[in-house]
Amino acid sequence: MDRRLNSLLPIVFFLIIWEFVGRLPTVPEYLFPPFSSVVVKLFAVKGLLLKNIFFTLFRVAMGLIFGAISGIALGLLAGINKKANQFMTPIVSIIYPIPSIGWIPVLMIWFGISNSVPIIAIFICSFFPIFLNTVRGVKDIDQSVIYAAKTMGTSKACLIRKIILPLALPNIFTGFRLESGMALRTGVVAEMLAIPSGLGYLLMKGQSLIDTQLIFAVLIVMGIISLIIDYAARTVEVKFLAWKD
Amino acid sequence: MEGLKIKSVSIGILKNISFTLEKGKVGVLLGPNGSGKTTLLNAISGIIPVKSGHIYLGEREITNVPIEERDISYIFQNLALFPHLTVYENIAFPLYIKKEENIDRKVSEILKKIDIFALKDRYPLKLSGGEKQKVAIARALVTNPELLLLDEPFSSLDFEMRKFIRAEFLRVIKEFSLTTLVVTHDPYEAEELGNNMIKIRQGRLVRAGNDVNRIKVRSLKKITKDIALAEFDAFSLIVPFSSGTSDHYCVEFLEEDLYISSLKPPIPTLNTLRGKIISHKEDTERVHVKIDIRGTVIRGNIPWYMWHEIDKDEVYVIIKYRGIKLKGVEDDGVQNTKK
Repeated sequence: MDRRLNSLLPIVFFLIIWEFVGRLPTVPEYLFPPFSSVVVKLFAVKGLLLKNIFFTLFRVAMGLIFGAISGIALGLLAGINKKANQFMTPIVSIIYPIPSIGWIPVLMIWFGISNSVPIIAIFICSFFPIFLNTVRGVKDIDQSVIYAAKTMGTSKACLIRKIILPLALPNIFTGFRLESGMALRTGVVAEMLAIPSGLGYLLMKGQSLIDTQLIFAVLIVMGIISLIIDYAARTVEVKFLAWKD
Repeated sequence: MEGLKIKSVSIGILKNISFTLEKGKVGVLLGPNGSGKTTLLNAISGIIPVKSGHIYLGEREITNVPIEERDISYIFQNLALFPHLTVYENIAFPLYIKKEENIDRKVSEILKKIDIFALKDRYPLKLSGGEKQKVAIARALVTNPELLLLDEPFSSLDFEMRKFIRAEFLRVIKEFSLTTLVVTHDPYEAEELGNNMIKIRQGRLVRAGNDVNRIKVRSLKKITKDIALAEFDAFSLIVPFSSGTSDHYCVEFLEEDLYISSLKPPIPTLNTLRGKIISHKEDTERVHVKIDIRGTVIRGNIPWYMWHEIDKDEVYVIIKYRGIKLKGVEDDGVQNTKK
């Protein structure tokens, strides 16, 4: 209880400062609204917000799921098979450092204004770190554990399913958790540039209407979503990696 | 009946290794670090392919059989427990792979037999070193394999725990009558584990079997029901059994069972023989010597740091009591093992 209170106090303090600065006569409300008016706005546009949260979360989920499935599958292949690793690693090393939002203009040319743009941008953002972490996770597995399973008569498919994948999970989760936050950011940027829906679109709408209350309301929602995603990822991680603690 | 037969196997550092291990017996593969012990175990288990030679498991040649089909359990030096599976799941895993029936009953039985039932829901990372050893042994035994291989399985334990786990291991192995090959670099551990010793040094087989040194004794004087005394070169030889049909005996002991010194024991000591070194050969760890004891030549070794204290013309050889085997020599030349 004390610990919760200790972490809540600085937040309350921050909100009080925000409210105070927002109410200063020298600060116009249209430039920096006080916290209370942002909360009022949040409730006033909750229908609009919920609709656009759904769009954003759908795109983030799709991009992350595709990125994770292909990243894990190809990562396992590269981790197990030396030739596959030699083929894939140089390609990944070249593409991975390119910021995923850098792909958005070309994706807009290829796919036009559609859901595909943010989903593919999120896919690019999540695929590479999950791929690299999966490769690392497979390579980090103690070889004697693999041999022990083989001497028991384990088939290749069973070995991957029952031993290699579960033991690579700690690394995979690290990549997944880091990239889930990044995926939200990439999705919002793609929406700001390419799509007339989603939280990114609402931010751009707020900017064009000089509605800073709406912008701050969306930013608060984004912060809360990020926290929820991180918490969910941690919860899943704890459930799957109970053996580690 | 043969349990494991290695015929002219060469691989990596190993050159032309051959030996046979009887079915149901414990063989001890002894040698210094880097001598190729683990390489040989890996070759037997199928982890690495052999360059030349043959490996037989009973009647079946397994030289080129895939690792998954050899029916061998292998306890690695680090035990290689599956960290993401509970103790129960670790032990059930090989049964699940072999699609066996009554998995729950079989796992519960072995958990109770090895006295780890209370640990069944724990993960390996939450077990002590001794508990992990027991789980690894249980997992290796649960499928009743044709051959059990162990690569220095007790090396990570402290002295007391090692002694305890080793005794437990021997008890269980005896109960299961498994053909077992254990690797160790510790001669004392080798002695504890069994006397089917296969010794390799720098990739070559130094000796397989246990009948290197033999001394013939003309007569034995009974001193108790079970212990006999033989007069030999002014010192006395104490041997485990006295009864027999012959007055002629052959005393056998291993190189490892000797303590060689130039210091005369202060009082006449049992199991001590006097002789002189007739040849010696040094290696990195010890000096291998041949000792002439009244016309009988035996082989022994002396740690290198003690070699400079040795007077080659007069050495005293003390044989460990428990290392002695006594064989009666019949008239037709057939030897009967008394121990």
